[in-house]
Amino acid sequence: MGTTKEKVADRVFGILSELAAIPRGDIRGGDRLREDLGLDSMQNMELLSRVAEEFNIDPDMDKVMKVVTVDEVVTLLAGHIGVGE
Amino acid sequence: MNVVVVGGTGFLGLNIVEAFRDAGHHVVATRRPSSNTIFLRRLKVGMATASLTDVDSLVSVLSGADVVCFAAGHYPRFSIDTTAHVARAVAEVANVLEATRRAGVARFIYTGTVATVGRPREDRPAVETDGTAATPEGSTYIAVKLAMEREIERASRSELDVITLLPTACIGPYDHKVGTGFFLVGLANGLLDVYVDGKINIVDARDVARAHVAAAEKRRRGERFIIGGTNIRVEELFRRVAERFEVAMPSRCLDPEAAIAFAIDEEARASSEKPPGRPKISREMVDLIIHGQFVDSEKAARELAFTVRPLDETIAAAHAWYRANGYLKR
Repeated sequence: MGTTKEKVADRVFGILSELAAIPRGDIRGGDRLREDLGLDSMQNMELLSRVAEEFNIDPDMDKVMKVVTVDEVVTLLAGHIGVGE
Repeated sequence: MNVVVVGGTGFLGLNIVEAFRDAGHHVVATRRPSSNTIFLRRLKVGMATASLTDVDSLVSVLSGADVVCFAAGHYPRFSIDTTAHVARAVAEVANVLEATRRAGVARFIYTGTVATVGRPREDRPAVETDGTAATPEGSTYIAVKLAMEREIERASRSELDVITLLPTACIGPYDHKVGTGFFLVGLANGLLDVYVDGKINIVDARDVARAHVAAAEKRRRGERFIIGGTNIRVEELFRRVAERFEVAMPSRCLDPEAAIAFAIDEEARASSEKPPGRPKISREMVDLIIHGQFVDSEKAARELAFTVRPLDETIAAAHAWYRANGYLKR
């Protein structure tokens, strides 16, 4: 079974829950990492780095810096892996 | 040689890892579980998890190494609670030194800072024999770095083969948390409306990294080297950057007293934000500038064949890196 966007989302939500200390069920795709979940820039980078490492991808930093919401993180990473829904 | 870079995911660490790799050495970089490994993984070197608070984890990574580079010193984000920051920094250095002894590593290279170098009596650039600086009142960063270097010196007097490198203000690629390069990013993005003038020395992070390779390859046990680039006043540096990238100079130059007060207010504001924000100017940066001095790296040039590239080349490389990685608005 290969990687799916759902799997990427699952890891992003899992790590976010840990970093932001917010129950997973309370996190929404439209939540903004900084304003809604309270992540600082280093935690934001840790999230991207950890997921990128787990899925062995090399995200474009120019795009990483522009990510605002949880959904955007998932889309960015899934795009790098080249997975669909 | 087998080289372990403790702190290989950071700004200088990444440059050091790249320099050793390019010189043909086998490199392993340590990382914490929370480290940003995006850049390190691109360098295709070994990566091992270790914590500065866990000696066993360090021993396991250091075993079999010929050289350990320690570029992971504690870096206080805000100048608040100096005592706690110093205690943490010293404990971490002691752990790395203990692990180095236990793993039987032959050589230890410590990356310190030129801020610990004493002030010469005469009007000339400082050199290594000018001794150790006094701690300016209220400066957490300099207090931490002086305490760390004292710990390193103690180890150097015992059985360990220690070399201390004291870089000046580093600029260059891989500055992903934006350290000294804040002035470049701040000026280019129009976010810097105040500054403080003083003496500074800017060095290319890639030149600093090459000095680490030279220190590993040459035998200079117990020595301390200033690794500096270009001596320049902050105002002149800002003017050069502003002209080159066609951006405005900050509108106000603060005197030292006003700059300290401004930085204290800024840190209080930034640290109370949730999540913590970033001060426009940090206390650390103000301290480094108002207590700054010109330096002479002749000893490193003579004994480590250290060379310095032109300042404009360094600024251009740093600017290009920030631009390529999304740090600049235009």
